[in-house]
Amino acid sequence: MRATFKRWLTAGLAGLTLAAAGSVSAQGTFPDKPIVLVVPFAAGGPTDVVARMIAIPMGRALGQSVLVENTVGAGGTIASQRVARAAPNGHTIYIHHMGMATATALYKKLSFDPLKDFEYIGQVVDVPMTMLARKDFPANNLQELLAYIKANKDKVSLANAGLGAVSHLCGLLFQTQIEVDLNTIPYKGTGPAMNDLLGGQVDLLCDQTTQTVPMIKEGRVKVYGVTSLKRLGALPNVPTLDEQGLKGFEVKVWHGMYAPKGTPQPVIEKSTAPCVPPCRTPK
Amino acid sequence: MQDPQVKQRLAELSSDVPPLDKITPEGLRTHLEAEIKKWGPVIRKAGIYAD
Repeated sequence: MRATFKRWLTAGLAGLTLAAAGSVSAQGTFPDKPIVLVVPFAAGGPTDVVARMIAIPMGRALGQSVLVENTVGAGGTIASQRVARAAPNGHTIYIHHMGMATATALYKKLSFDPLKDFEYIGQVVDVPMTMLARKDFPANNLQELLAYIKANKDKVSLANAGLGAVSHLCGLLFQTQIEVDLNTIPYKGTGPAMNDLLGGQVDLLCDQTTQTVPMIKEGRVKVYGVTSLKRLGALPNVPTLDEQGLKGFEVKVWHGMYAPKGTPQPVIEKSTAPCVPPCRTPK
Repeated sequence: MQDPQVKQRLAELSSDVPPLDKITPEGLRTHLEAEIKKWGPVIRKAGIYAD
């Protein structure tokens, strides 16, 4: 299982750049109909992008189509509930990010249990985050930011993409670690939050690198650090928050793949790891 | 996951390959439990609920 899943993931991700994975006939009778890959957020968002990266080579490898289904609502919990109750026949696969873990604290009543109602397939992609400010914000690095917040904490605003969004969680952890409550401004999604940061209507935002790296490279925002423990290849000159003194500060938008509880292990393996040598990365 | 081209493509996306021991069912399960323990107190201390 372990080896085959890694092999599939390797081939799948390689397929992105190489578009070379050959088709493999399905083994036995599975899959005899399309596989649904459930995504708990809207089409075009960061999680959807990761899912579609995976769906194409996965379908090619299986010789069956993989349909991405965006089951949107309630911070991903509607999709999680749908998958928890789906028939455990291998035709339903689920991808979700760290929201799978945070839902247990964010929701008083959950109709599913992340630790009981799923089969686990594996983690797939980690997306780090960046702490940003509007371009003309006075502080130029993390130490200046912390000093500025100390002196002006009632005036500093921190945007997020909505209750429970990863930007909200990053902001919460930041405030917890620096022991300050900032003026938090929720938006309906990352797009509006970023727009207001670019427009100077809000001061700070912590968001995923998939959204923020282009803005950073174009100099449209200020960046104070990355939320990973190591610097990023895409932003080699941006220090980590950890190395600047926020010891242990780490937020990764990690993604996991799941299936309904009771999905037979061989079916999970076939649905995610059927990739035999033809679709391994050509050397 | 160790293929240089895969790593490069992920780096362009500013994303990372998870450590190898997490690309497994038990790796995901263990990480999920650790994350529930990490975020639970942060969220409860802030007193926010989505429902």
